[in-house]
Amino acid sequence: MSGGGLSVLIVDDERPARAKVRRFVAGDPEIGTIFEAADGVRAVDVVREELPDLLFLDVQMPGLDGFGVLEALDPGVLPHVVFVTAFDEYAVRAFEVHAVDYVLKPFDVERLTLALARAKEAVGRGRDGEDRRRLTQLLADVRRERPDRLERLLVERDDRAVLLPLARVDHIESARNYAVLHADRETYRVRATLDRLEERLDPRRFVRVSRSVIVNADRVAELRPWSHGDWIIVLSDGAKVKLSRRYRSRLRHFDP
Amino acid sequence: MWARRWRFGVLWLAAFTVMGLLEFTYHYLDVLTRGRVVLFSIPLIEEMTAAYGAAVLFLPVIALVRRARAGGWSGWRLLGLHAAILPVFSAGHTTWNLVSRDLVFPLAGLGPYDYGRMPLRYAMEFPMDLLVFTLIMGLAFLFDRYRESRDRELRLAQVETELTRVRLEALEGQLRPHFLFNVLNTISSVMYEDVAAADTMLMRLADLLRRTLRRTSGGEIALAAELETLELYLDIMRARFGDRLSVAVTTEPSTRRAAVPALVLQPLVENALRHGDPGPGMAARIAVRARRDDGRLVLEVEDNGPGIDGTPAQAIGKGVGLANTARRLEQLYGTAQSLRLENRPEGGARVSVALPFREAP
Repeated sequence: MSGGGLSVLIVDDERPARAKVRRFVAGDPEIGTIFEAADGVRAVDVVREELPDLLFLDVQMPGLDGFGVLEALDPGVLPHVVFVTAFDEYAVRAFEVHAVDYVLKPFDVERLTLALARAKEAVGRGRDGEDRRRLTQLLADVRRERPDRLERLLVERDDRAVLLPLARVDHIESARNYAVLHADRETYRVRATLDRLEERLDPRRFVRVSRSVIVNADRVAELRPWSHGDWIIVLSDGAKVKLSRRYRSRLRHFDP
Repeated sequence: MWARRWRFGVLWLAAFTVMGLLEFTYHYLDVLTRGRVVLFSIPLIEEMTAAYGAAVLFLPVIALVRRARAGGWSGWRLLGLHAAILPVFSAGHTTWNLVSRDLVFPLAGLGPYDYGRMPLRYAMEFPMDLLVFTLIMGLAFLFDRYRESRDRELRLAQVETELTRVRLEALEGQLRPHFLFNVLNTISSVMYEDVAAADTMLMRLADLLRRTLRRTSGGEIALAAELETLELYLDIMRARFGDRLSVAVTTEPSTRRAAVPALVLQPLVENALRHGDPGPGMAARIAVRARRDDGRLVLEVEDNGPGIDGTPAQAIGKGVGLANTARRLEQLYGTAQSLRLENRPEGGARVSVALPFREAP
């Protein structure tokens, strides 16, 4: 908690929609600072810098959508989240299943009041992990059932945040605390271990071929047997990576 | 499939058994009437071998006629085919009678079979075979006709179901719940700040819905009217997104009377807004253009977003609006239309639709 009350971040690509939530939460004496973000990338920045207690998060936004925002955040900094959606049957069902708070547009004051009360209670209880576990499970569901919803990854290039479409990625390698993504002969970084990144990618398309490399199966041009059961994978951009024998079972992912 | 074959086989044999038994009754009563004494097993074997022989011989005949019909034979040609088959069938049948009875009679303890003078036999059996042939082939023809008309009705019903599904999809697409609820939310927020502006938005929304519902029949309208509808939509979107959205509409004057499918532009613009986001902090710039190119009307929608990944076909499949539009254009204009999606050299994506140029009534 910062300052005099709960800090809130409102994420919506539409100004009047943000204004409506702001008007509502501003009337509550327990609410402190209110931040706004007009898109997913900005929202990630604000959460990382301001560590708000509570997030009103629009699900559908161009670029990085609501689920993408949460994917990009470290689970450690996840605030309490209230999803906001106008009409998304899949998302609403997922929120119900995982008992995650959501409000529908147009906002109904009663529902907003209830969501805010629950959020305050959850934040007051402190971060007991239950909240985060629900969100993590929700995201796992979305990843599994709607891989197309997470098609872009928020990455860094020359210290600038960029949305990189996953379809452009050729391969990914680990470099200390970062993962380096190779796409269109350029490199991007994302602050994540390869293990965690692998969890977030569609396993039918992105295949771990060694402890330090993940390749995009669509970009594999050639497989050459190497020594001692290792293989060399030649990618369509010409890069060569090794498939170590311990990951030999992954070869079947490259069957046409 | 096999159950059907079995059922057919049983019915087919039963029919010929009945026919054989009727013939036997006639034959045997005729003998009794004349006061002669004959073992009843003789006419029974004779009639049943004749009946089962016919049952077997008719199968290739029917198959041959069906193939000819499937190949488009009809009328005199088909009748000629029957006339050509008949003597072969009859000769085959008589030969069968001789051979089968030669085999069965000794087995039944009736001694060797005497079929009389064969040349006369062939002539004698022909009239009877003619009657049976006409009857069976006539029935087979009627049965096939019945089945064909039933199949045609079934196909027709399927086509109609498909049509209904497409219509329903179009309707759902036009009502666009996501858009509708977002606009209602915008209005409910703007109401607190500027009642007059909220009122205007509500009127625009009502107008847009009215136009959408009126045009569900899917017909064509003049481009000028389509642009009015688009303007209503854009007014609402500008109220929602303010200066983060800029749309320029340019049309050659001669195109304004051209016929276009109602609501063709809006899904294209919606798609550009959804996928053509240029990135954080930048305004989405959409250009809508209409021009005449030879005998064609070309509509273009461009954005300044990240462009498309993968092939255009994949990208069209992903955008529900684009896939629906492509299907609708195909239904309306067949091969005379085209919908193309491509990346612009200067960045962003462009959708171009080309239609035959016709003036709206």
